[in-house]
Amino acid sequence: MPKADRPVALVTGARKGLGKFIAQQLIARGYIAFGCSRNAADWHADGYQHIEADVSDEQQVKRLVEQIRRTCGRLDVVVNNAGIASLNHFLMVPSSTVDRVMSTNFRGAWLVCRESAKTMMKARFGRIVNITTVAVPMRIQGEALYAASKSAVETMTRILAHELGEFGITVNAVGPTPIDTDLIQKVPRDSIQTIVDSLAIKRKGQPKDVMNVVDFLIRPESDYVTGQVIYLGGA
Amino acid sequence: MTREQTIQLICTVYKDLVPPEDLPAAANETTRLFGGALDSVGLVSLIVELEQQIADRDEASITIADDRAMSQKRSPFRTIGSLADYVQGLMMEVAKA
Repeated sequence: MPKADRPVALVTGARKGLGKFIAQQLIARGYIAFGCSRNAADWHADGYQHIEADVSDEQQVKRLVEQIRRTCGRLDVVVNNAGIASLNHFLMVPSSTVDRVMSTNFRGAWLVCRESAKTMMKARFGRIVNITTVAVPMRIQGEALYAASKSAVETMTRILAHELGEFGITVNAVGPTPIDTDLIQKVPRDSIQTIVDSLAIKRKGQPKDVMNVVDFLIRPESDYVTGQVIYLGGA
Repeated sequence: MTREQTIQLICTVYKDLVPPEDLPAAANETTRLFGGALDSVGLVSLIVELEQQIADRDEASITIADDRAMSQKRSPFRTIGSLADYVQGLMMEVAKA
């Protein structure tokens, strides 16, 4: 089986927004980057391969990671970014939305962590970064479902850190503040402003703020940092 | 892959994972897995290695630790033979699909 001479990364939800930015930054840092989303990407780059896959589908996730393993023989970094938002009063959220949000945000992250760790553990090296949200600690009204799905991701992150530590795999999470991407497009402007006003640093986040933390967490030297959730903006 | 070949594959992976001082005189289909020379991490490593080797040999993507395996009254992870039988069943299902 071939083994890539450069580190290999997988970024979920890389078709656009934050995932696209992180994938592009990883390529710029010398990684071979794989991205996935349910639909084809409309961007290309040397060292980037986009695979259409729904992270909530077990067989699709298995095929995705299998393809990376067969192509590159290694997987060093995973950024679990794929996610969907839901903003509505608790009493107005249909159960179908609960299933959809939990399926993508939690089940998807779970499956990608599980299948990626299987490849990482043989190399006794891996860096998993899960994207969460400041909506968890800030307990933002209307975001009960979205925050609950990310709460599950945070708890998973902390426990996986223990279960995967002996294989040289670290598992951490980054919680961004609102960033101007499609994820918050439908969120009313005053709701976003309320969140920003309650931050220690009163501005919306930018993709580079997230990348700064990702950069730190995926460094080989960060092998003693695991099970941590880092919120941005002083949330 | 025949049952014999599956047993052979499991034995090979098993021998790679068990520390030499704990390795039984002979690894065969009656060798205990769960509660034997492998600890829980060793058993996880064995299952992951098997999944990947089967994927590489037969291009069959199977998940050994699936819902059925975890809920059976008699665990398929008891012995090398019981695991081989379970893996054979999974591979037959993949072939039919």
